[in-house]
Amino acid sequence: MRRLLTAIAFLPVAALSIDHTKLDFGRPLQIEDAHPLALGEMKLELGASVAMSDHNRSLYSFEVEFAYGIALNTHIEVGVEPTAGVRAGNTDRAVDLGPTSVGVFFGLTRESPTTPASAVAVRAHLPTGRIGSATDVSVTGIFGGQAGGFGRWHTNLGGSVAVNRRSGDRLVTFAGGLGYSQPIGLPYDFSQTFVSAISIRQSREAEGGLTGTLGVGLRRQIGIRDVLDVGVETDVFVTGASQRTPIRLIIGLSRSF
Amino acid sequence: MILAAILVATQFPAWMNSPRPMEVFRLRASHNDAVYNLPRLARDLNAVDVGHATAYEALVTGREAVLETEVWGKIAHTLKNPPSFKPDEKSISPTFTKLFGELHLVFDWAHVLHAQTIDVLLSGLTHSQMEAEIERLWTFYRTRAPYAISGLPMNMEFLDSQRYSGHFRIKYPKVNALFWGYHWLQGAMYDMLYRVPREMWEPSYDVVRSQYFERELWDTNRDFMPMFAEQSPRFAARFPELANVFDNLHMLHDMVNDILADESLNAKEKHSEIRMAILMTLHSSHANCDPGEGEVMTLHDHRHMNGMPGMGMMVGGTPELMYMPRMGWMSMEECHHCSMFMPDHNMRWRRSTVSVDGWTMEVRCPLCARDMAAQYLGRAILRLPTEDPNQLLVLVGDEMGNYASSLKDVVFLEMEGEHPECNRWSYAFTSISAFRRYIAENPQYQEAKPYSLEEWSALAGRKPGTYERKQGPVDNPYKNWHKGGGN
Repeated sequence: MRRLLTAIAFLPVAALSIDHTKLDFGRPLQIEDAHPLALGEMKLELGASVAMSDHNRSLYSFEVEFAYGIALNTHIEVGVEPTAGVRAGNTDRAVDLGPTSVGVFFGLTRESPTTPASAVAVRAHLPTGRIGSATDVSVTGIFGGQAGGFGRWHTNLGGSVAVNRRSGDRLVTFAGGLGYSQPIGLPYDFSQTFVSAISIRQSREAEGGLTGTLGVGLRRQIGIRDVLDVGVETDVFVTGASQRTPIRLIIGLSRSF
Repeated sequence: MILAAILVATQFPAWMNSPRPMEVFRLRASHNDAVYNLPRLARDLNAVDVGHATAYEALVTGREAVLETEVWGKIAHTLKNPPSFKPDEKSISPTFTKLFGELHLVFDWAHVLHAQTIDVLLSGLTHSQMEAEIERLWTFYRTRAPYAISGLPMNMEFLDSQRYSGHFRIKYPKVNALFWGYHWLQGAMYDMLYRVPREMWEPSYDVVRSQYFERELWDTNRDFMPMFAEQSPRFAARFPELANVFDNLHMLHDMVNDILADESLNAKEKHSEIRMAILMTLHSSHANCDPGEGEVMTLHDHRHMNGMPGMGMMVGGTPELMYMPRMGWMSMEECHHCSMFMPDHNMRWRRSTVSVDGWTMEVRCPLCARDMAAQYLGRAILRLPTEDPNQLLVLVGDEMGNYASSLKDVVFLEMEGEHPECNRWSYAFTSISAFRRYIAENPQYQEAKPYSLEEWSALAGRKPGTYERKQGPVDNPYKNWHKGGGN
């Protein structure tokens, strides 16, 4: 249980954007694009997911996140990720407030004929829940660009340093992802984007290994300022003592204002 | 030579050389997205965004050969089946945005100003609140981001006389007609809504939308891009800086279109010319200039039409006279029906306007508005002042000249005399009591009867003896303008 919750808690707080074409981490997949919020823009995100483990345990995760474009090319983020674990056919439950995440996202370049869009995000996860008893700081490099006519590629590469490491934890862990997104329905429908991603992350626990996750999802504009996202992910491989999550269903709603 | 001189004299501002995203969010306000209070207009404007972006993407991805056929067809389909939500233009024109990121910032920021000012007009705020909000938007627009377009009047003949000018409209007349059709709608919608009561939004848009879809989008014979003050003279007079921003924005669209369509320019030259075109229209490039001043036929020619600070010099025009496509030579200081001078300054609110057949004209009195509308086929919108500066009478007519009114108790005075006095003997009132007060104060009209709307609509005045058809230096200054693909 702890390993599973730890793996979920490792995920950085979602970056935020409004348009369905923009990708936020966790909304719905574990990939984000290099687009900072505009100066003065605010964004609120709500998300929920259920992950089924190989051991008949379901883990319900929730996200409430807020971001604000505090300066040109820069936004700040704060979020909480409470979780609840339920074992099938059992009353065993584990409810946790989860970590609180704060972060700063810097847009470095917009895409040009010679450079990809790029950004760097620095995030801290603070121990506000039982499973968040460790503090870590992550740095993620984010890149993206046009792929074909209307598609876009996205790459995330990051490392996380445990500030107050528990015994048996790694000091530094790495994560990365490769994604592809494509508006679907053009030129007759302008309201939805298909997204797919494969991501790899290293367990914080020394006995754990790597987890590779494959996901597909859809971001659809459902209101003037609202985007609904749905996705499904599966851990396609794990190494070491990491636990595999065969399926994770994600749903979320983002509002910009 | 002129461009070279500007290049030498002017540095590109730092933001134009920055590779960073540089995006600024709109002013946060309760009226944001109020355009959806008029859903058909909101959706039609969403389609305009698609139309712009689709054409640009085709122009930079080697699809010029099908721009007038396949691409035009897809845009036309979208215009007739508009999206419910505002699309992300970057996702529709990813290559264009990648190539011309700084231009995208300029366009997008000006489009935000367009959208937010329309939101205010559709917000239901009181007149004073609405005007204060528009002033706030203008201040926000020009101070919050470095890529704001100038609110000064600019010489359109100068801007449209670059080495690349005219190529797009000649090579791609159907798509150019779409662009100018969008800009016609974006101009016409302001007077359609400015100080107009909520119950008249839909009927007014019925008229405007019919004109937009039946003619304006497809008109390949238009002489020049539609100018804002031609479509919305009331709003342009009250907010000249905004009128100028939108005209300068639309001219920047034309300049970019022409650059992209000019096959004599290679990719590097196109990029360079587009950056120059941006520089020419930026607010920061005209920091020490004043409206009404400047050297004739230069970048800093900021003279404007007499009586209309929201309109720069036009092709072949002077401050006194301009050639208005479909209408001929005009003075913006005079009534277009009786040629009498219009009320100005603090009495400007006493002007009436008439919109019919795709144009909008300022006139001096209700009679002039009604009789001018009657000379043309099609539905008309009359906007007439009453005795109350805060109550505009809006009349939306059908093809037979029957009008629906924004004021159910409206009555009219019409005791026809000579036109120098027409704005005294032709008058609209919010009520019979207001009519009687006016008669008491002006006993020379004591024999006048109060006309109901139905009675007044059936009247027809004599042809004004004061009318004088304006003559310019040439019959039509746009004749052969750019026919050779550049000036």
